Amino acid sequence: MAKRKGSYAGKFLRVDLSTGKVEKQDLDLDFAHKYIGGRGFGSRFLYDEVPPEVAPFDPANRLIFTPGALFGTAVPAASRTTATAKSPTTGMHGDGHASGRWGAMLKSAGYDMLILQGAAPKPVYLWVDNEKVEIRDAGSLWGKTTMETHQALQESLRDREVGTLCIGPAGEKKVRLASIFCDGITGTFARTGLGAVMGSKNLKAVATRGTRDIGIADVAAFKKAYQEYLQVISVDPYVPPATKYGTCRFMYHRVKFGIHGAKNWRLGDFDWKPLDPEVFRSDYQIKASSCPMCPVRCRREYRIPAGKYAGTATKMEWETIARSMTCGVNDPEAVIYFSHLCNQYGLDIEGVGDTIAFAMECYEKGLLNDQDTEGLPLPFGDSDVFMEMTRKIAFREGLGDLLAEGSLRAARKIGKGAEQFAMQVKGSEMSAADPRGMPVRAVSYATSTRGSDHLRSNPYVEELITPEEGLQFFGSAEAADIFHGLQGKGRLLAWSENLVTIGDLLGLCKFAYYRSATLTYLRKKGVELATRFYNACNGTRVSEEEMLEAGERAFNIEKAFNVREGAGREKDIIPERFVKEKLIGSGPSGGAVVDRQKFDLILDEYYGARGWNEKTGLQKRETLERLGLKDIAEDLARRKRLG
Amino acid sequence: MNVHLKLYPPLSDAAGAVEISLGVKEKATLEDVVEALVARFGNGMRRHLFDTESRIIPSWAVFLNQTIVPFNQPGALKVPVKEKDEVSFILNIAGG
Repeated sequence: MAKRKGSYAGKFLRVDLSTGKVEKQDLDLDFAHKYIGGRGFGSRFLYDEVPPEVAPFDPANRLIFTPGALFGTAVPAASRTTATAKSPTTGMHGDGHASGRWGAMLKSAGYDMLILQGAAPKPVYLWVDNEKVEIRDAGSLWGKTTMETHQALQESLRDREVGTLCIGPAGEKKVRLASIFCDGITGTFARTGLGAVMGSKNLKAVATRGTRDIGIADVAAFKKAYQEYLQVISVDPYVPPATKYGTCRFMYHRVKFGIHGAKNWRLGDFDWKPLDPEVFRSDYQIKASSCPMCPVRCRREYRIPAGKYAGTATKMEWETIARSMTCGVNDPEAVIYFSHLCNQYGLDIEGVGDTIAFAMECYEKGLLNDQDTEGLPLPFGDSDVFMEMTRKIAFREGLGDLLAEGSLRAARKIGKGAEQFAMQVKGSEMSAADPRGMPVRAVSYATSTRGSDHLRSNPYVEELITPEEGLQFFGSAEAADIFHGLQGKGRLLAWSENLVTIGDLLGLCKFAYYRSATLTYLRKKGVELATRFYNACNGTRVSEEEMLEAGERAFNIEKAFNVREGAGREKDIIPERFVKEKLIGSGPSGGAVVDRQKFDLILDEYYGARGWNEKTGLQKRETLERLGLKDIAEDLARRKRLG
Repeated sequence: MNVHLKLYPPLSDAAGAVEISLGVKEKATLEDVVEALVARFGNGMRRHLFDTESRIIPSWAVFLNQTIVPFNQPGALKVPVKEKDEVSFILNIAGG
């Protein structure tokens, strides 16, 4: 079979689970080159098809899967697929991004996008086998864990290579912290509760087999870009720790800066030594591997050899460790087991960890009592309680039913001021590290279009630029001053949001392309090579500026979706704890709070850089029109939501 | 004089140790510490501290005793060190 010249498969697949209707639509290449793929396709279709009157669990909500534009090619670390829906966590734009073969299978089957709408009357799974598309009974799969579901599909379809998406018990029960898992536990569409949307549609899984090739238009240009990519990562000191420890490496940074956010984001210091990356590497690591086509190799799998969790083996990332510390847990075996439970039940580790920490603080403060917890005490640091609450959330048992709503909704039901302990932005729980002492990071959590998120931007650019680069690229040398700088920070943040969005359009890993030790390496990988790979694969002549603008366009569509839902500047905030309570600790951020005045100054500059109204945070007509989004500008104008 | 160095990856891998004592000249600065580190461990160390244009990589930071000195700040490399100072090198990149 001749290879297709270009990285697009050429069709969209739409399945209505209510009616069983299957539609295939040709991909318009003008649309493709404007929105690129991945997050660009997903955000545009979500905006067009899910208006404010559609609730997240309404069958009319869409669940859209879009492999990145370069997924399926041989581009290194191009293995990410985006899932998009209105989020049951935030009530706004929701998306998640996962690695795994499923996205490549979808493209090899002939589709650049899978749009799911409606809701099946009983549990089903979708079987996409190249041209053949079938809705099948999933009665025997309902109730199974993620890995059990993946394996059952492989067996029943008699294909060990089949790609799968599935939810676990948590998604079935519409836990708002539920995720969608790819190829067993290979990848996770973790955030914004998309597993619950899938559950609301009675869709247990999607199995996909594709056998077509995706071709490359300009092989010579592709090879040259590939060699240059390998050259950059061979000299970037960001890479060796990733290859050695996986994402667990971030512990060392958190330790030195004292920004753990332990015990529900109160403590900068924490007894971390039992969780040293070297402990995980030497005592528990059984496999170091990579996502498809990635030379960085930062995936890690761990196995607990003995003790009460003996035999447990799972993949685990840094955020599992971080969120365990949020609950005061520093037993490495408990951390691995927590990852295992979330992976099998189909839960968002960050959301669950922070929500349990919220409950622990409510218990500590007397807002939850033994009657609320059915006699189960909720002290910080108790790993047995940590596991039991994870299970209860997954199955909506007892207090778990309340916490399954996420920390903000749970806090509103508890009342008595509990909301101050819900560490979330736009309803989505915090991730990564404590922002106190580092103002632009606090703002980055606030401006993320899917709620608190450290992967929506790269404010860490402030750590790797020189003052001269700060002046050249962001208009002020202060942009390079982590602790005291203000000028240039808003521009840096806006640029970094556009930058990392490129990765989500193309399906490139953030760690392989959008983190580096120098701005030169970062721009080389994240802008220049990403664009050259796209052009080499598709025979296009997209400029680097146009690729950054494509990132800006997608970000603006998501923002417009949220604006249409009613969100303005008042939603671009962070938890009050960061503003009012000093971080307890001895590191550089110890004693710091987020200075509200500095926060607002950076946010003002950010809105200015984005071309949004600084007072309201709403988008201006000219900005949307510059990005080719005139129809969205007119929609917002009709709703009186333009800035 | 000697300063006490704590190293995190990838420098610890290049040095083969996470803590070392490093001899530097009297009235040394952090720049002298970097130079002594490269002189002792060679290109395996240099490739992590300098970019392909031989510029110091700005995302390195040191904790000089308990005070952080990011290398991307003006004058960072001119900060003096004293006998028995503890100098921790850490790649100042978050992002997990």
